[in-house]
Amino acid sequence: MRRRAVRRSWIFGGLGACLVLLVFCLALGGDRKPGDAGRPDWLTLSISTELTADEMPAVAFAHDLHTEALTGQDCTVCHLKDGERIRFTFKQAAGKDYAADMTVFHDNCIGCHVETAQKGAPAGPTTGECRLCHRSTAPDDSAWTAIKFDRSLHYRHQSNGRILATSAKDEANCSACHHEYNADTKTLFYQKGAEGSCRYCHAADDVPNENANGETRSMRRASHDGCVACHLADRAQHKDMENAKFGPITCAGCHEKELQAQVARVEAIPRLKRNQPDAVLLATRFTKQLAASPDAKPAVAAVAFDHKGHEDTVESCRTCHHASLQKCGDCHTPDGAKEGDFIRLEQAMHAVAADQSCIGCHRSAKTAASCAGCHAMLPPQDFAARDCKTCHGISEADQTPHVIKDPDARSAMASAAVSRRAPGVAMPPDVDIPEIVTIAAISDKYEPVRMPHRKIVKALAERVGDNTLAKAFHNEPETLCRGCHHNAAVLPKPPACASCHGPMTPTSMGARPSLMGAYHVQCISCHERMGIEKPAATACIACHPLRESKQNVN
Amino acid sequence: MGITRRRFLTWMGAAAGSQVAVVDRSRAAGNRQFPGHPESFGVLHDVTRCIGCRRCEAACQEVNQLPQPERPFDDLSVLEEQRRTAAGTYTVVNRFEGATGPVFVKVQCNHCLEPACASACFVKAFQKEKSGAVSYNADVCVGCRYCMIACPFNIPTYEYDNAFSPRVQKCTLCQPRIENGLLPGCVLSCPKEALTFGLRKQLLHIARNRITRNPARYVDHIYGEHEMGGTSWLYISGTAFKETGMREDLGTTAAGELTAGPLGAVPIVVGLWPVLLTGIWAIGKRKEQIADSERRRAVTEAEQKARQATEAQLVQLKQQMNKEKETAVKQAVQNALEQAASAAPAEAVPGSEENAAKEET
Repeated sequence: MRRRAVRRSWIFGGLGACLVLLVFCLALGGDRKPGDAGRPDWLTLSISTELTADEMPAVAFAHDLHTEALTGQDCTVCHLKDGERIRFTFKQAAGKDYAADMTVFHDNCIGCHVETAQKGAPAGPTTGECRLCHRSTAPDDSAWTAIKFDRSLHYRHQSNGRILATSAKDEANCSACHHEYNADTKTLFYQKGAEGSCRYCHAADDVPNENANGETRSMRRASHDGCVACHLADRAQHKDMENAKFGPITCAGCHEKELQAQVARVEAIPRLKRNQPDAVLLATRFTKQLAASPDAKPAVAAVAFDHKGHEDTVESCRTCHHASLQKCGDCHTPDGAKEGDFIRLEQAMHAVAADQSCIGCHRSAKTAASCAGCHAMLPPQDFAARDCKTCHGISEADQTPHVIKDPDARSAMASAAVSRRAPGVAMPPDVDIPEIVTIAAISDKYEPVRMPHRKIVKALAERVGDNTLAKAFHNEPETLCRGCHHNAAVLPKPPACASCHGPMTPTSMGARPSLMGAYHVQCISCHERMGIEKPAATACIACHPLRESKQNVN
Repeated sequence: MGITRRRFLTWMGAAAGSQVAVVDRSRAAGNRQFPGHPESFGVLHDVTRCIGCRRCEAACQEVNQLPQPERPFDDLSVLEEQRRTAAGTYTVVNRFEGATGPVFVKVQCNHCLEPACASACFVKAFQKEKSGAVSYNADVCVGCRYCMIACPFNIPTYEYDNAFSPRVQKCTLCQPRIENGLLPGCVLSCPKEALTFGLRKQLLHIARNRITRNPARYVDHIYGEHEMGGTSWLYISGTAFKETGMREDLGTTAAGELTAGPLGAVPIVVGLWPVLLTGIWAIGKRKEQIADSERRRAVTEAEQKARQATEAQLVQLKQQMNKEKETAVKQAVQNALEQAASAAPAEAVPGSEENAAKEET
């Protein structure tokens, strides 16, 4: 009997060991469960900034999984209230004391899991199952997608009757979200006309400072504390309302691509007015020079900037006003200053690689398929004299000290210059555009190409469409022609391609393409970049039929 | 006595060490980096321009009089598979999936500045020509195919179906055409001028210029500028080279340079070792001789000493014998005198001694 008992204990011991091993293997290798991939709600919970080898890995926490499990209870199960509003940090974890924070997490997480399990409901890991929580960071294929609070979404909030102003000074409802910080009283207040992007103050990370909370919250925390808390309050307040659309309160609601696509969009958005000008006369250097000496002369033709026109084409104010809604020249002074990172005004406007600069933004716009056919072949750094004039259109003679010093006269001049701009693409008359161009200069194995020249020109003009940028810059009858007929005057008749491009010889290569190379690079590359699939690049006979007599020659 | 095992190994170690030190120092002093023949040609392959039409393959077959392939050159479905060069196929175009569509890369001999094939060939069948081409001489080739193993780009191929005079096969850079002022067949046939022929140093300028003018279109890397010590065939691309089947782990050292040290030591070893071994033998031999002569000298000395000692003893003995003799004579004389004196003591007393002496003599 005794021997049998011993044997049984061995068997159970062995089974137990196997089980432990299995759990261990699952915890190590199988830290991903089916359904994990593609979740948008992964949070990495870590109280260390940098994990050492002695510490457990961070906790990968699926937030929406917990929200679902706790349906029927409110957020205060996990999050504490700060006055009326919920703070979306976990319980009392303050992010300062390592040991205290660890206890807060362990006690509350495990405590709740144990309690839930006692009720007989499916519950999370408890003490001893460390690696079921501490398994890794969020999976690489997390479906989390940043949400863009674009102009449409902004307008939908702005025009929502349930969102009310919190300040008497506010005639609209801007004060529901926008606020300023008063460093003396250490309170938030609303200031009309000072609204700006949240990100001007709320950076990617928390910024410790002398504020009431000892920090300026990160954009992530500020938006969760602001948006989600407001959505929750709205739901609670209007729960009886019929057909009401409430803002999302789950991770997926804002951060899942498919759900983002379902958010209603407003196309015709009225202009958002916040004391910005319609048109601006950009002459900062001259203005400063005039202030110092009344005899100063303008160094360059000023720019009449169509501020109103640009508002419709950019994503948000922040596209250009990247740090604040001040004038560009306030930080980027003509000679560079610390506030503007010593980036001079000229650089701020012309930097090719910067997204915020005029040239940089225009350049990235030209990567669109409609533009890339021609523009991908034009080096971005090449500015022709005629390009300057498109923006720098206010002549030195018109920039009188009287105008420069008078704000009204300045804006009147800028508005007038903007309204004078060409309304569409300038095109030569049809008679000047040959209908068919026969390319026979190098015909050998193939018949000459009969190129539908006018059709191509018209198609290019059509692709410009309503694009204001394209319309503004294709302002001469031959601008569009230059996409192919580069480096020479186009009208009335451009020089033949063969006048510069010749046969391929060992000594001629590299300097400029041979005639065959020039034709094929021009046509095929343009088709590729504009997404024109037919004729295919390798379908030789689609453009030039094979010559019968040479058919058998490769 | 002579040379011991321990001593031999010590000398060998010292000899090997000194050789390595000499080789190393001579490598450092000699400018071994070969930047290529100054006026050598090359081809720049702009991968962003290639459309995968296979005209280059067709032209290569035509100008080199290679056999017709099984599937015609206008059959682009062959691009569905990754291909390699083969006997009778000096070049192939391969298709890869890039971020913004298909990417086509032409594969052929890269004509290294310091070719691995040439450094592996022990009959000098491969030669880096001044034109830039790496040429092959089938007349001296013994068919060992070390070149095929040495090539980091897997280019040389072998005519396995030619039983009696198989040759190694690879692109010739159209060396005969270049010499006649003609372009390589592939370059001439490329409709999109994805291949640019020219002086290698100018091609580098062109490549760099294209990258500078269109930083968004190209990866900032000219493949072949430094790979394996540099190649005459250069590549620029909009896709990372390793994603288009091109090795980026080859380093910048030419294969020849890697083996030059050990291989350079071979003549020294071959030339020096007989001298060294003879020297060691001679030193050993001489030591033996010295020891031998020393031994002999010692023996002679010992003999001499022994002889001298014997002689001295003999002399002593002789002297002793003489003395004894004298003493005996004296004694006998004295005895006789005494007898005589006792016989006639009265008369002969004054002259007795004189008489005795007279009698004696």
